[in-house]
Amino acid sequence: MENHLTENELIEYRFGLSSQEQQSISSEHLAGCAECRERLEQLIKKFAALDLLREDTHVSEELISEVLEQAGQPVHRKIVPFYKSPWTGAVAAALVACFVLLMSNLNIDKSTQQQFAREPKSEDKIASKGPGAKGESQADSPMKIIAQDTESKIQMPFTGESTSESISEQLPFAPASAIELVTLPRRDKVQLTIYKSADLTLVRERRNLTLKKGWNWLQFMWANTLIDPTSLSLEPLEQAGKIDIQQLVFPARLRELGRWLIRSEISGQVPFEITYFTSGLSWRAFYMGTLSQNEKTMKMQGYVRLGNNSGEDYDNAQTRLIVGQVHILDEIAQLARRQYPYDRPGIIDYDESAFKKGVSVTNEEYQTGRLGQRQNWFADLKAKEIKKEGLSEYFLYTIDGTETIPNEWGKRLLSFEADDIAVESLYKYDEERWGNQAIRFVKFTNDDKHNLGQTPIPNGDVKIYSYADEQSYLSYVGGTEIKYIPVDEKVELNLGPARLVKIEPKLMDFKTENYIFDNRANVSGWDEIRSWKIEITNTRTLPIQIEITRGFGTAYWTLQSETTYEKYDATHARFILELEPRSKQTLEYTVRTYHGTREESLTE
Amino acid sequence: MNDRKNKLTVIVLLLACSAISRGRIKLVALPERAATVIRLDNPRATLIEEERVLTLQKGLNKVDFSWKGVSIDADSIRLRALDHTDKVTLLSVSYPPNEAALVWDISSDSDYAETVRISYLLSNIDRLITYKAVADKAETFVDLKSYLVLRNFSGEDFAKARVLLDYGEAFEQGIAHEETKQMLFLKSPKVPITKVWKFDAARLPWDPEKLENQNVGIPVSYRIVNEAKSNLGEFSLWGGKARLFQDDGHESTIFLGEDTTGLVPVGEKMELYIGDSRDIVVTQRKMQDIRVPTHKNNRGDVVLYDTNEQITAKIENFKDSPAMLTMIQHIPGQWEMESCNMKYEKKDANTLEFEIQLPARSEAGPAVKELKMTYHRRHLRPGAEPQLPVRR
Repeated sequence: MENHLTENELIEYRFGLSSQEQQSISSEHLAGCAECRERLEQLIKKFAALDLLREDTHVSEELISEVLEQAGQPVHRKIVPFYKSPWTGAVAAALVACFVLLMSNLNIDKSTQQQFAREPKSEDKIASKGPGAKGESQADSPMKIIAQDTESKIQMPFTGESTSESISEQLPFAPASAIELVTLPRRDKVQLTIYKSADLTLVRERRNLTLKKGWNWLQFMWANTLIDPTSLSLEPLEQAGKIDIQQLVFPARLRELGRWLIRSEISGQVPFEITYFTSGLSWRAFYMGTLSQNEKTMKMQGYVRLGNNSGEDYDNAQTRLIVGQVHILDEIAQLARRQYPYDRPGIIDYDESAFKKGVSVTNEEYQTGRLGQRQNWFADLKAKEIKKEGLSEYFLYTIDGTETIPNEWGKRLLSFEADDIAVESLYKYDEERWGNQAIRFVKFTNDDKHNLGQTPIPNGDVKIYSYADEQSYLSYVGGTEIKYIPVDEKVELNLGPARLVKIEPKLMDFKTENYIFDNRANVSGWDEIRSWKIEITNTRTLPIQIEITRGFGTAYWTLQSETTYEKYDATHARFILELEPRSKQTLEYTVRTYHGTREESLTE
Repeated sequence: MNDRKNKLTVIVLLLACSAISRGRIKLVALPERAATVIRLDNPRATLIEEERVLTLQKGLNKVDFSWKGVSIDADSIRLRALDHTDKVTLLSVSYPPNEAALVWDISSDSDYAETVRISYLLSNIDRLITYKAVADKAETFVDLKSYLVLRNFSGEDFAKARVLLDYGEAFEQGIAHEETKQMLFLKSPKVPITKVWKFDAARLPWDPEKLENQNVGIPVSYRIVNEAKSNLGEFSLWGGKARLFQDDGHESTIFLGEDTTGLVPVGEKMELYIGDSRDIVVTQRKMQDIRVPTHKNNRGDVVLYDTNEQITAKIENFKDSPAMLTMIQHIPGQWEMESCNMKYEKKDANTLEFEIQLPARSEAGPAVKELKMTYHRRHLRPGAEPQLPVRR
């Protein structure tokens, strides 16, 4: 076999473009030449995607010849992966995109088509800016995410199987990396479930994909985002019995890309749901309390602040926030940065079942929920409400309508507002905890009586103001952090050292007695008696309540005082006193502590 | 209006993009800052409240509040509509990336020129309090003045603001960035003072003879009571630095000294240390220190003992005026006084305070008084004796 078939001859043979005579010569040659058969095989793979289109579209002969001419250039046959040469990729994508534009039955809307048309330009622009540079096209539709260096994208390559009634059981080949023939389905709905205790967000997107009967490849790319590839999941929302998601392939040598192999018994548009975890979205709660002038009631506003550093813009996303401790084994950000989605053997012992268990609640709660109705909330111009509901050990906050959270932006939303919460102003003194100063607290209960109690209050910073005058000017009282407050639990906000309440404890007398000696006549037991005088000065113009905790350093003690006290624990007693405005009070007590063998006298 | 451009701006975006755009190109109106309140009642944070008139259009309005170069606690920012509270609603707040700014989405049911009040906690703007007291020649009263020092290093100019403390009247004041202003805010003439000499045996050397020709200075303070009788007592006096002067009788004053004071609530005393006096000399000695074993173990070691101790303190007044010396003595642990020739007040279990009235020196020499106290310490255990707290 001295004369091998040229690339052109192979292409003409494959697509039946040559004369009858040439076809039979080529066929004969191929039968006896293994090398040419292999080359043909490769060509078939390369153009398999185009085969599909031949069945469905009316493409002009001229365009086909043009494409074939380009594809038929045999000189540089090696496949150039996208990620190594984005420009080449862009041209290839553009070429391929031209085809897609011509497909009349693919239901690509006008805007998508326009994006396709603009795509190479946008890539050039972004490429010239270098990685990390943000384009100015933020306001455009989310499908702009074709830009390779920034965001996740979905591409839908078409496989080369025919549309005949039966579906070949043989799996189609995986698309070559350099050739992507795709549709870009619009992201119809996005739902974000953002956790607080871990850097974890469950993203649920709904996209309409156009499937062919037979085998379909769907490519998902997430370059420069923080998506955990091990969490990727694709589910059809309709026709579930006729659509089978067979595989998710993370191709060799390609990063941040996955391909689903879908077997479909139907042709046409099917809504799909894609879920995955991402890191980089966060939320935190914070609060503003405003005390009335007499400090008997407080208005409280709870806010949530959302932040997006995930690398991805989320437009009109239904946003839900999870209050509660989630158990995860690996940090999502770490999983997102892995070179291989499940890492290499022998590096990390990855326990997938445990991982899933930790976050399974989110899937459960989602079953009971539903995707929010897409709303244009600008239309009604009402402040948003955050709906709250309990689920398992979590609390779910759902923000009314949808939110657009562009990458790197933050957003503050009101989560609740309660007026006239009856509060107690309380001062506390405990040297072991706060040294020689009284600490001011505001106390209330997270329950109905206090116009609260609808939900637990997530931990966060709180700032307390008070109304300073009739014109509602404010005065800043203090700030603190609050821990997570379950429904019906008491809340005590520590507002820091009290400037206008002074506590001065003085040891007024000390003596020892009741010495006991052991059989060697050494001291083995004795009592210590201390008399304390505590002077409390309230220089405020409001009455106050103060709680004084005293520690004795031993569990063996007895106390005498005219003021009632409660035994706080084995080694502490607590006094509660009320003081009139601008008044002084003295608390006196004598404590006897038992040491050594004298301790027994207390237990006897 | 200051020539310096305010860094803190409120902007009504007249032409906002359909969505929030990254470039944030804005066509804007700049509402003037109206009434501004600087509230300095909390030493930990300064609250600013300013009013601005926003020209709102019916529908959605975007209002940009930015504070480049100014340190504002973003979570503390509050916005309140004052004219149409029910009809103007704050929908949401967005924070653009890498900017000290936020964008309010405000809905309005009609076109309004709405006055809004913006409140926030601003850093690096605060106040100090200083005192100046001029005593008369006889040291019986002081003319007390207190100044408010307003320091603004917040990055923001305040052309005109109402400044509020936690007491006293509000006052109008403008203050520019990097400007410091001192203002008189309290003036109380003829505040009675008590001059106090204080000898604390735990702080001062006992025997001047052993000091090799050095004087022992007895600390001298002026005591002022924050009460109505003292022409004070309306509110707590804030802590700050106090400088004391004295009328020298020649229509001039001398500088006596300076001290810092903490917060003095109504009814409490302020003590201002002005310096040391060398005209009162205290010579204290321990004249007796005997161990009396009360219990020995089988090996004959002392396991408990008492003491017999005697302290004498000779006080000499070389001044030509009488003086009241406060003497503080400390006895650690359990003790019993056997005899003491002067009256004392037990300030706490281990502290005794003597108020010793000293006459002026006479021709015969200094006025002399001597304290003699004999006491026993009880139930001491060798190696475990209670110690006095370190006072220096």
